[in-house]
Amino acid sequence: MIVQQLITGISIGSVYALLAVGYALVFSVFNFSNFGFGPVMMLGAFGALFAIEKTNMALFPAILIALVVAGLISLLMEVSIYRPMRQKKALKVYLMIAALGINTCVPNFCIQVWGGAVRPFPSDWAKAVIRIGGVVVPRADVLAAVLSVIMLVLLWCFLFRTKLGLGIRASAFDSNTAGLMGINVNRVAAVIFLLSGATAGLAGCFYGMKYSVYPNMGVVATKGFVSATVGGLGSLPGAVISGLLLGFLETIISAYVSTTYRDLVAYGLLVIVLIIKPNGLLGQGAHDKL
Amino acid sequence: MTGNSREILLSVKDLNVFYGGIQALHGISLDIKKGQIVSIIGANGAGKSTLLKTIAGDKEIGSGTIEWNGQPLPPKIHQFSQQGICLVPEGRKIFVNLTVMDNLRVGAYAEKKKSVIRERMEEVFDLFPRLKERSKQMSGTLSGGEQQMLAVGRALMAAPKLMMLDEPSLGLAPIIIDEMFEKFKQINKVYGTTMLIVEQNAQLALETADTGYILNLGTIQMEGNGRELLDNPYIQKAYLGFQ
Repeated sequence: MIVQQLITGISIGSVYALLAVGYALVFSVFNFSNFGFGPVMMLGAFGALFAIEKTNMALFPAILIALVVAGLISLLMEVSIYRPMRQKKALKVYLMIAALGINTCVPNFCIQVWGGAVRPFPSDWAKAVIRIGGVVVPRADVLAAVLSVIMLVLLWCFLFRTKLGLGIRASAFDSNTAGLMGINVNRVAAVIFLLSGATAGLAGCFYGMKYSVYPNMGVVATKGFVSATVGGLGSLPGAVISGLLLGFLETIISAYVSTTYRDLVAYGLLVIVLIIKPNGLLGQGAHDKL
Repeated sequence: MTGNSREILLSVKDLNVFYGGIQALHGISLDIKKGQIVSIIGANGAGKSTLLKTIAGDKEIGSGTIEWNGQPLPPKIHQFSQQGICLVPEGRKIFVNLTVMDNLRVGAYAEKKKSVIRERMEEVFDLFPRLKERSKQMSGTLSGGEQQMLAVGRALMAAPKLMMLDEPSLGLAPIIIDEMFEKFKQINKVYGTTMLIVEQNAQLALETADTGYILNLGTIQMEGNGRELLDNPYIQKAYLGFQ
């Protein structure tokens, strides 16, 4: 029983961790929270769903489609909305409000186009279960855990082993000075939105497999935002740790207390963490960030 | 170096710069010749930093022109260091979340050849051996003097033609300041790098400079040979604290 909860915890936790990393990446460089990740994640999941339904595509290439679709949508948001706002020197809080607008506008647009129906993720492979000893685990959970780890490791390697990664880390500390040193901050921004969008798309696939695909599924991205905040806004390890933590917490509470207490206890604990450590678990402090 | 020291590297004409409705620079004109050390002194709020930032692409030109090697300045801020214009900003602005070595790598961001980057890093380490000892350390753990060395080293990594230093002595111990200005002279001599130094320490700035400018309330009040300015009674009274 406990092993099973643990695995469920990892799988939902990795969805939160992926979303949280997306928030943290954007935040670390631009100091604003991109609430547009909900729709990005949703559109990624729809990308995979349509790829499978319309072309009978296999699961893995469909997941790849989700990454690409979500990455490009996220890039489109940056280029068409955030970049012009930044260039007009908009306050960060306005960027965030624009993001909130996207977060409501896009799902409603999708409801107009596709209807609000809840669709099951069309993969029989993912629905099947694996038995390990006495433990029954849905394949989707194992897949979510494994692919999330791979994604996070790749991301880490990119950030710490490549030149563009160095540019991102420098811009994360001080984008103006990074520009003075010859780093094209707009290009860094494009890469960040592409990457964070792709992670959101991956999270969307897993969430879709576990629950289902529907225009308002992006609401769950809020939990990624909460994880990123608790981890310390802008801290990638913090985002991963608190994403997993939130996943475990929810699963354990659902299993041993009650599903109705899940969000109550989880969010209650998050508030308490923030009272004790206002900059988050691994936050840098000294930053006045929104 | 071309050896032609009369060649003009940077030419500022009738430069006006604004912060919103407030004018920070009023019709500044100056020419900087290749290979020179130029110092700009002046009180707080005289517009010294604004002038450097404008030349470095970090502040928009209101009106007037700045010519670099006879050409207009590039349109984007990140292209300035590629063109050889490098600013060591006020307060150093090193990336404290990166190691010393990564900070230096950022300085050479536009350079693609790894061998060139390695060579330049060795040169920086020769100039500042302390940085070599600390190359793997997070740069936030460095002392103020070491951070200034890193900021200068980071700019050198771009192999600049014009190196601009904004208040390099700020917050440093006197002995370190002297050492730092010796290094500036060395950089100028060895690499032929043209230097533009903005400095509160007027005595030191004018001693080091070939040419000095006095900036007051956004206008150039006086210019001349560093020595001459040091001997000028008005400057001695207003900027050097002579009674």
